[in-house]
Amino acid sequence: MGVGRGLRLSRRYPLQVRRLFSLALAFGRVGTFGFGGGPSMIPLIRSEAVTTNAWMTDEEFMELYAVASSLPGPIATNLAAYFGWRVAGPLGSLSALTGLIAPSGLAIVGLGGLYAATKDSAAVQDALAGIRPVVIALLLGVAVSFAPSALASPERRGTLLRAAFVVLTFAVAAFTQVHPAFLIVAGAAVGIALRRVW
Amino acid sequence: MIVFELFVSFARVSLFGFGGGPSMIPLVRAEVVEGRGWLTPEAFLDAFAFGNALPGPIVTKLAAYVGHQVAGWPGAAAALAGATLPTMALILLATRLVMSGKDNPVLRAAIAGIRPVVVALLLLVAWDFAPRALGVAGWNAIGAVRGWFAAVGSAWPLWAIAVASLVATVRFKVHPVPLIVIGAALGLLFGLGS
Repeated sequence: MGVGRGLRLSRRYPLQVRRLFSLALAFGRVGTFGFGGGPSMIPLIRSEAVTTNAWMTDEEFMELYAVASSLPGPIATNLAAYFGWRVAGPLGSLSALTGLIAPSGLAIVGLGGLYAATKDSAAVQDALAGIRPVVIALLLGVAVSFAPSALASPERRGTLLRAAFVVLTFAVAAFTQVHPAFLIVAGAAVGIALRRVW
Repeated sequence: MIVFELFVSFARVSLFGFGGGPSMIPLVRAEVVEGRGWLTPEAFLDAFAFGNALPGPIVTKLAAYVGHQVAGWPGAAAALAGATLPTMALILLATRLVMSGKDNPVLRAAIAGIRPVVVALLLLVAWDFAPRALGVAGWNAIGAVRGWFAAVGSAWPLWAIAVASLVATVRFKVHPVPLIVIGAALGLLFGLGS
């Protein structure tokens, strides 16, 4: 498959160095080809971890993914940190994280420079005016794609209650200055309090 | 210490961001636009647009961009460290201690309560940005509804782009990159910025 698959450091290098290199390379590929945000990277990470590098089995990966997605933080970076640690300790985490983050981090800083230099030109203003409605649609699209799992309940009443909770939260967030983190903690409390109700 | 503030802001985003990268967009906005005023709402929306056109995790892209804007490369490094290291510590702990954490009923109940909040917060980000993106003065007064239709009359190409993109992304799962490129092309073609 990818060009990088056969790319391995020569055996002249110590094992630890070769591991760090493989980690940076594997997660560099994920960070370079994972268009579309976190969820789009999960299949890429799976193929690096299970197929290309054989760091774990498919079953282990499913388990790990379940734990990672119930913890806070970006899932892809959490997985990178985990695999890095498992394969090569703390330096491994650092190496995997750098591989994942560096390509797009550098690219966005570069694009940002271009944006700052050109954003007042009429052409860029026109292009941005066309892009902004697309961004609104993308944001709504994310909300819509989250809705099924957010509203899923064994009972119809539960789904209605959860939908009402979405509306209530929206109203509180829109008309007060409360920080989203507070709403998230409140959501956790409501979830625990209502766990037999919805 | 602005570098330290960047670290703390993005650590907060990451630690309260349940449900993967996109669920953190409202938190990033709260920190960066409202909390610290590091970016204007428009600049944030544009950064989100070019962030979406690039590969990789969205939160770390925004962290790199905002950090670099505010305090150069040290700022980018601090924001990235904030976005990744605290939750990295959590996952290393969690996989060691509670690999069974996903089956814990209390944790599952908490997450069931968080998910609707995340949906509401994402809707709110779109809601707050929509007037600027769609050429409407604002949502605030109900009496503005009538003037609103007049505004929509002249801004209809923006609305058409928004609706078409929404259908494309939700119904047909079209990737963000072509949508952003098409939006830019239409903007240039029809001079939508003026």
